[in-house]
Amino acid sequence: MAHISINQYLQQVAEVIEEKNGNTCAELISFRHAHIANPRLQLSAPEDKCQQMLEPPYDEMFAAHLRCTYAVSNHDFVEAYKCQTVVVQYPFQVFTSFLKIFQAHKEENWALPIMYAITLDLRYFANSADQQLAKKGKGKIGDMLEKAAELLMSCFRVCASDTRAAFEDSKKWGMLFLVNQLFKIYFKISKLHLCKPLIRAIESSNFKEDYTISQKVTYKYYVGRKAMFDSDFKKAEEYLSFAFRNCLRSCQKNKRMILIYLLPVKMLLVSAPVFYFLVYEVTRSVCEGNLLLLTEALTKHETFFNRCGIFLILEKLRIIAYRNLFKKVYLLLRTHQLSMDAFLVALKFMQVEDVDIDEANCIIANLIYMPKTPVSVLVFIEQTLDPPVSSLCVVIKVH
Amino acid sequence: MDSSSAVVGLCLEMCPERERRDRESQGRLHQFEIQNIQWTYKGRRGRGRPIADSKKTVKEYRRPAAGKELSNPTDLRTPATLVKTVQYLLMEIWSSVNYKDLSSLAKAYTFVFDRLRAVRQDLIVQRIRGQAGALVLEGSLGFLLCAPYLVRDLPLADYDEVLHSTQVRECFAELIECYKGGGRFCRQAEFQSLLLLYDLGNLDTIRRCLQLPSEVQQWPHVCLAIDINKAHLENNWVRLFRLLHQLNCLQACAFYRHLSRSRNKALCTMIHAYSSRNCRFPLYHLTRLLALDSPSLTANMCTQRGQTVISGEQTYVLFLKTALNDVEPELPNREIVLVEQKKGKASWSEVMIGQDNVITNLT
Repeated sequence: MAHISINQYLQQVAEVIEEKNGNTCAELISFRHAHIANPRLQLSAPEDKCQQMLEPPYDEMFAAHLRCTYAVSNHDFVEAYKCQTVVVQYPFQVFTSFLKIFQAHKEENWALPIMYAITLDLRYFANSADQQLAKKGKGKIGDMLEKAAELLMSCFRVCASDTRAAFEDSKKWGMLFLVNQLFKIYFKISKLHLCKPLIRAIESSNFKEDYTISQKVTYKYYVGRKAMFDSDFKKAEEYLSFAFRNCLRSCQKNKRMILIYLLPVKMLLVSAPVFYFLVYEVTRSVCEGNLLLLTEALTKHETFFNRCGIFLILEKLRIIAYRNLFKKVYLLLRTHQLSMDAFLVALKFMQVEDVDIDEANCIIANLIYMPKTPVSVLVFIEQTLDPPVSSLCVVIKVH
Repeated sequence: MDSSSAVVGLCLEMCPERERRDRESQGRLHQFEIQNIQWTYKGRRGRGRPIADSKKTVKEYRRPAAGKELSNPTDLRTPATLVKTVQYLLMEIWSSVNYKDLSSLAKAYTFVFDRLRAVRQDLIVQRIRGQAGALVLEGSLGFLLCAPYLVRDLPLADYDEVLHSTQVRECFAELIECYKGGGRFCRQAEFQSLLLLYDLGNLDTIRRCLQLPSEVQQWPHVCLAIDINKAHLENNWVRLFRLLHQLNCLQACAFYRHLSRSRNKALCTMIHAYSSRNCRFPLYHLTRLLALDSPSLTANMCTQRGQTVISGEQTYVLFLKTALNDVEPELPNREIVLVEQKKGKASWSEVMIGQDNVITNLT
């Protein structure tokens, strides 16, 4: 495969198209296949050859593909991206493209694997093109990706509007793959608000349960992350857990990526402690109620947490750390009526910034108000408060 | 990005001449735009019609629509003119407002709001960014952030909160774009902090801010705004209200829209936490914690929520969560301690334009 001539290559392509063999055809146009390293195929002007060997509209598509391999071999990703858009669809050109072919395939969907391969490559090239342009100081980061997203959207529309075909022949099977690609782009260029209509489209689709598991994992991962940003932690936990459970054990990197988000969400929600040690220092400090350590750990890794967008979620864990700290105070003093001063001393010991008795009160009041204050139920009691609040006591019941 | 294709405005007056003539002949001039000698008489029988004062007319906002030419260079104002227009609207028009008279307030608000929108439209059509763009947007935001406090009593027909907040958001989005372009902006830290306060609790906004260059993050304004957001996330309202005292007037106005909700939440928490027949909470202390202006306001909030206020030598509140009834957060009200005292001797117009910027004379 690595050293076949252009004629042989095009012959193969013609055959698989004749057979409607989507998978093999996808390989022949994918950049994950050996043929792209073949110097005999890297041509700057393969149009004539392709016209001879292939039926239109395929000739245009494969010509663009070969030009693209040529560009890639020259490390010119901007050019490669342009060629790949022709492969997928050159927006203003009337002549053929994959999208046209795809639309013309009434009631059949054998071309889906081809779409997967070329849209994936499109995203990669857009990404590399972006970086290359940024290095040259031209254009804004994300411009190319944004354009790629538009193109993917038009593919998505073709898929979504294929309502007539029978269940197994429907192009709707391609929707989830495209949605995942779009998620990747939108998260990268932080345009999260654009995800909402896509999620709605998938959730209302009757194919929802039947997509392949790998696609479902990716989908749930991104929707979970989106839910996290919207502060919908219940949903985030559900989706991320699904992704974590169903992600292949061998995909260590993916598992780790899911955990980065799943962990803080779990810690925010659960009533039982979770012992995943990825964010080891943070988890430990929260479990111990060691606010000092928590502050340290957060400042130390601030940039990393910030990059993942979980810094603020971890900040919220402070509330749970307070609870654990106060429980320690209770365990130390071993009485059921505790003076507020004891809590204040504990907080000061943990070097909480200029804390005073009013704030200590506020923190405790919040713990009582929290819907499920885990383990301890606290009740304020006191007679007339004068001088205010510092003489207040707390009764702690430990379940 | 692509500056070559952007239109460059040529108009050096606040209102293009063509629009002035059109509006004059159609009788669509605003009260603020006409000459003091009010009527001219065309012939003896002619009805009087107000004539435009070229120093006072300001281009009005027009919805972009199909077939409407927006990018005619003679109708677009230059950056310097736009800056001048904003200054004029705030320093001349707004400073003449009588806050006690609701109808004059409504007139001035709708006028300034509409004309500032037109200013921004000119800015967008010409794709003006950088220093000039930032200066115009900062001025407009000064007004847009203060106005909700000042016009809180106006009816919905005059002041639409939703419409207003969309304008604020769009303004902020463009301003942040200006800052992203790089360069020195003397008020960047101030406006980053205002955005944080306006969007209190919005994780996305905070995340973006935390990714800014560290020298911006270390500005006292920004630190304070981040601390306030953290206190809010942690639900530590004691700290929240304490920090609010440190805000300046413009910042306090930006935060204003969150006040009643924050107080409502704090009070609910207390009612649940301190709920006991034996527990009496001093009213003056509660007033101080919630940064309210007077104990009577506090007492009102408590009774609204079904709590008992026991007056005597000292006034106390008896919290009972069983008596708690769900009420909507209070309507926005006057805030003397948190907002008005911060203003000091400055006028509202000066607050809007930025107290330090008043002297700079841009012509």
